[in-house]
Amino acid sequence: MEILSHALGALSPMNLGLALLGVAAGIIIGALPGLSATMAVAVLVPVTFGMTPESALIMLGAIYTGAIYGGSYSAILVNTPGTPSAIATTFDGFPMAKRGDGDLAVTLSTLASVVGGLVGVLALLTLAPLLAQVALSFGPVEYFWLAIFGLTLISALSEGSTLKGFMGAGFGLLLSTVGVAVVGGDIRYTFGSQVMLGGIETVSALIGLYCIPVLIDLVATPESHLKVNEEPRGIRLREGLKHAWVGKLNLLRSATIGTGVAILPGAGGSIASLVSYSEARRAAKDSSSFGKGNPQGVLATESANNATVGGGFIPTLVLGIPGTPPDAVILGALLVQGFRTGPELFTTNASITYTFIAGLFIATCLLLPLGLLIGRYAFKFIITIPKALLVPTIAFMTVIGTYAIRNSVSDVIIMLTLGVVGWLLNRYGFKPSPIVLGLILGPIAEQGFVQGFLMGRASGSYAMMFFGGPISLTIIALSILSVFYPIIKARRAQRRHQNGADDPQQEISS
Amino acid sequence: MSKAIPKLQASCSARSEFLMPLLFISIGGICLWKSQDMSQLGAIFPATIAIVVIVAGLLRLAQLVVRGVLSNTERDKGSTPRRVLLVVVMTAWALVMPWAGFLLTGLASFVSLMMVAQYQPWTTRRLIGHLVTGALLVAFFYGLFALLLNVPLPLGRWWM
Repeated sequence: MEILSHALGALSPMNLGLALLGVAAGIIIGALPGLSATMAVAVLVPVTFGMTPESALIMLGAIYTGAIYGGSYSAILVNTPGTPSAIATTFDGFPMAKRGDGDLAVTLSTLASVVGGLVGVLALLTLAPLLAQVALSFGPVEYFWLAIFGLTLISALSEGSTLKGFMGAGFGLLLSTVGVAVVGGDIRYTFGSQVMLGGIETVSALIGLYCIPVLIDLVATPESHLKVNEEPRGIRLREGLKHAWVGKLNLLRSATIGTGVAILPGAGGSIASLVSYSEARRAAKDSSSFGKGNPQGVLATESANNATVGGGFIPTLVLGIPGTPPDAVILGALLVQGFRTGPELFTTNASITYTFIAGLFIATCLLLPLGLLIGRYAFKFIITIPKALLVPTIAFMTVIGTYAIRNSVSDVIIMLTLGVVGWLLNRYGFKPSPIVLGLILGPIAEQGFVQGFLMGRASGSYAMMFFGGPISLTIIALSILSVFYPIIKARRAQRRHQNGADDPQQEISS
Repeated sequence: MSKAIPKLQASCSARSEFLMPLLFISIGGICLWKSQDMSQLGAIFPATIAIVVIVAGLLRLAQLVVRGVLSNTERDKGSTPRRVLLVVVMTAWALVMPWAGFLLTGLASFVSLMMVAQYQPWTTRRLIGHLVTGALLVAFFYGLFALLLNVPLPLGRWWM
């Protein structure tokens, strides 16, 4: 009852207005490639300093929720994830948009984000102290295996040739080692260049590898960017709800994965959405349609990445360890407001904590009308804008977005170079996703691997260090399953196919 | 009687399908060689990955040799000069930006890319409409980033 009275504080007109404003601002910032959810929260933190702690937290939570969701717009409509959390949304979102179902994909992303967001908030409300303890049982070795588990998604992403996927992911992992080493401080693969010392910025690489190839192909032909249906079909909410109902298990599983991954400090929305996509693909009967515009792919990734909002606040509020990068910024804002994280947030300062959780719940609910409305206009804008304006606009956003990350022209040049490399590799059957996956998971994997190696050397047994813990063994088992299950499934399907028809078959390798 | 192993379908030409693993093996080789200059802690991860890349490349080559490969004759074709122009304009934009400033280069690149992407003939109305829209979009993004988000966009050195 006491919790309910605290939660009602979030319903004041001021807090409701701030949640609405925060969600709208977050959606717009998140939709612009290069502006991540972390940046959206960081840029708007000073605005909240003059507010009461409850209002400040509600606004920051709303911006964060909106930005994570907003990243799906550009992922679906221009094949460029607005935020790293939306990488996996491009896999099925863009093919859907290309075949004329962009409006449906945006609606599905909205519905999934709301469901995922609500599951995350519910976990924050009910299981926060319990789940925070789980995060503490993850050591460097477990993080290493978690990164490897994320990398096993390669077999799902490489569309036919797993070896090409491994080469691409290896290239991405090697790119992630450029610059100063995460452990030891070695300067690696800079070839004497000062510019490369800071390494390859992930978001710049993401923009380059995903967006530049789209631009290069966009100017090559006079055909329109997305297929346009002659009859306007509105937001296709009924159709979206039907897909969501069919994929209700997928939605809940992905939201649970999202919440679970977010509890682990530093893991973030990109890993959550990739793991949930992999699981959705593995569990699906028609797994071969994933990556070709399967609505369940969009539902899985968007549900997972929005679940990380609530999930990430669990270690942030209970332990003072940020679950995701935007949580770190919000944690800073919390300290500025004079609050210390820990159990007292749920006892002495319970009024503020529960008002904030209720605010997060409201912000997630506001995503539905706001997301559908803004999404409809974003889709209309993309399909009606002539190519001669669309190409320079996207190019402009990629350049300004990349520059804004570190105020560096070098990042823009690296982004362009990777874009051209990505286009060439794509032409030869190497998809950008394994490269990006390697680039993102590289630092996490390396840190865990090197720390585990050091701990193994100190304890005298590398095998016990890497294969001794129950969590490690569980993740290893899941990784093996993730790699071999699609192969076994494909073999079985091929055998069935061969039994059905005796004509010579040709395997498509890319 | 055993069935013949089906040939692999290349993404582009059959020759390029053999060249790509060689390229990755070379990248892996260079990274492995360069890792010798690093400390043990700094080298262990990139060296391991480089070996994985080399092994994957060799396995791919073996796969191509054993199964054979067919060229892809239906691959996407399009205007190569326009593709090259787009990359040239964007590279020039990034290189000139610190000297000429973001606003000026942004406007110039916007107009250049507009020309590269246009297939239909220009009419006066269409040209003016596109130019005005372009100027408004550049002004909007410049305002958003430079004024609202306080991103220090390059002002240029040409006037100093």
